[in-house]
Amino acid sequence: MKKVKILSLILAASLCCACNHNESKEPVIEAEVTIHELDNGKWLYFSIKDGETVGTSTFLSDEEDKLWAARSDWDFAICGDYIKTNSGTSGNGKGGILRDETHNFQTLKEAPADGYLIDSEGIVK
Amino acid sequence: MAIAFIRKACIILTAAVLFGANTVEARAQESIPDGVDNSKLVYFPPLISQIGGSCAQASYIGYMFTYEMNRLLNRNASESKDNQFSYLYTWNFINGGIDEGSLGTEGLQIAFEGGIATEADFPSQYSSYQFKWTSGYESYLKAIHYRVTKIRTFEVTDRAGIDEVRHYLWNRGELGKPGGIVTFSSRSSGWTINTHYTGPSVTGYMALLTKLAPDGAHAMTIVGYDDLVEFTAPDGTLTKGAFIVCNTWGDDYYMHDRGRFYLPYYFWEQSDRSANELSHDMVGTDVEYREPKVVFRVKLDYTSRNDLSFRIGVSNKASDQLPVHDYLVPIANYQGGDYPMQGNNASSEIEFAFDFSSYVDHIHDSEEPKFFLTVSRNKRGRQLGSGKMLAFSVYDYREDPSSPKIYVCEDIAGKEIRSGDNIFSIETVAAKTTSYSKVNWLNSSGQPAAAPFVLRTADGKYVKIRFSDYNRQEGTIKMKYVYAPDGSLKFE
Repeated sequence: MKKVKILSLILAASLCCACNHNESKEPVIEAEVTIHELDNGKWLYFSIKDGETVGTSTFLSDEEDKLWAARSDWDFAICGDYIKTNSGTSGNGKGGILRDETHNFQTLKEAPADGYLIDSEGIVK
Repeated sequence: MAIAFIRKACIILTAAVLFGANTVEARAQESIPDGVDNSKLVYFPPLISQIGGSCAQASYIGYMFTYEMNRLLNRNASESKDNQFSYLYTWNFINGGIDEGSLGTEGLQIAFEGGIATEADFPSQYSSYQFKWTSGYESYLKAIHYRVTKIRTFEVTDRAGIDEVRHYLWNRGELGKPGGIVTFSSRSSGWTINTHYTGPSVTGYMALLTKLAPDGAHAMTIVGYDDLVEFTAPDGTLTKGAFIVCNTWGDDYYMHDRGRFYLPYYFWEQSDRSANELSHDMVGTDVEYREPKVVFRVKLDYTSRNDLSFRIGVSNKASDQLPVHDYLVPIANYQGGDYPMQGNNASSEIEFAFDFSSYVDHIHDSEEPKFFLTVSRNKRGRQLGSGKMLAFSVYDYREDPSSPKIYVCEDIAGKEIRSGDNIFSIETVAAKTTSYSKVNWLNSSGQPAAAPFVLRTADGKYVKIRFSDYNRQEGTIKMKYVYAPDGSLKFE
């Protein structure tokens, strides 16, 4: 279900040269995409690994939410003002998200080890 | 009795805009009688001996509103204090906690917006310095039933104006029906009243005002007229006809004649008189008995009541934090002086009923209405009081008036009333919930935050993301990201 136009991908793949002999570090993947078909009435799910959207579910549908919570093929989803990650009450995955106020996108070289927000139930505004 | 001119002008203007000046257009076809005395009808209450400078409220509410409501409901005013309306109820909201005069139209405006408590529901007050406010949901709820629907003004500076009022006093333009009564103001200190009038009349009073007062200010009620009463004008001309004035100085034997006196038409025909000497207008009112639909029940404890005002409102969604529609309550609006809620040396605890019925259309508009009470606290007068909320609930009488739906605000008891707006709410339908991330990913304008986000994927790997250009109409958003597929924390 490709609803994403990947404007640029790749880059760093084989350019990693700082590895020692015992490490087999995979190159980072850098991309810029535009996600389409967002809708205030449905969640649109995105897979980072695949670089594309993988499906939708009806907003406030407990039944559909349960089905998506059991899946591991998505990392985050967007619906209107809301975002969810495959974590906590939204999914069985190891997901989470944090907002880094100490860096900009370019200067952020390393992910924090902790501080990730896990999804939970909240009031619909 | 000092009355600020600007305040008076504002109130008169407000009344004119809100209610519209009105005249009685219907005219009876039968001939008008020589005299009418509506104070003899059962609708008129026992004579009032006003407390302090409350003459305007005594005349407008104590006499006129009481008379018109009993006329509407065909009740005997003297039969029960439930059939008499408390002029101190309005006066004590209006007077600022000091013994001074007020404007009658302010009382009528309270009656228009919120109703009037009966004498049966108002606590006993014997001194003007007690400034009592009644307490109790049932008392205020009963008050909500009794409302003004219109204020009528009659300009009386010539014979045409006099005749218009005569007809109003006779039958209010409704053939076969009892007439109305009206109020007016004049000076009252130093007037000359002949209490031995024995000239012709059909109504039989012996008190005749022969000279207007040079000083003072007073509101009174005209309860009838007598076309046979004779008065010799200063130039020696014999004039005929007078209105019957009912005063609020009690029914003492020496007070005029049973509290009433004739006020000759002659004085009303002097169009060049000052309005302070004798008002140019008379005021009447229309009333109705109205069943409430939605009522807020509010209980609190506070030590200096003029610090507080109240707003009642509703929003459309259970998740709303502020009301979409919000209305100022017409009573207890920074009023009553630096006293506890029930008055000078009285209890600081009070319970109100605030009528939301006029705004129920806003509830119909909503699938999940949420009620809001806003208690605003700002220092007024000499001292800032303190206190707490005790209870807040909303009674919805729309489906079954005898068994209203009751929505209760939980966890409000004991909450301190702080400076500024204290907002309390009641959901009528539980707020919808769903699962999502609480990360603040959008700014106040609804666009993604400029800061980068780090996402941990479903399988525990890391990706830094920057969202941008969220276009809700087009359903698009841009996303730039760097993904470390090996599970490393490093993005380079």
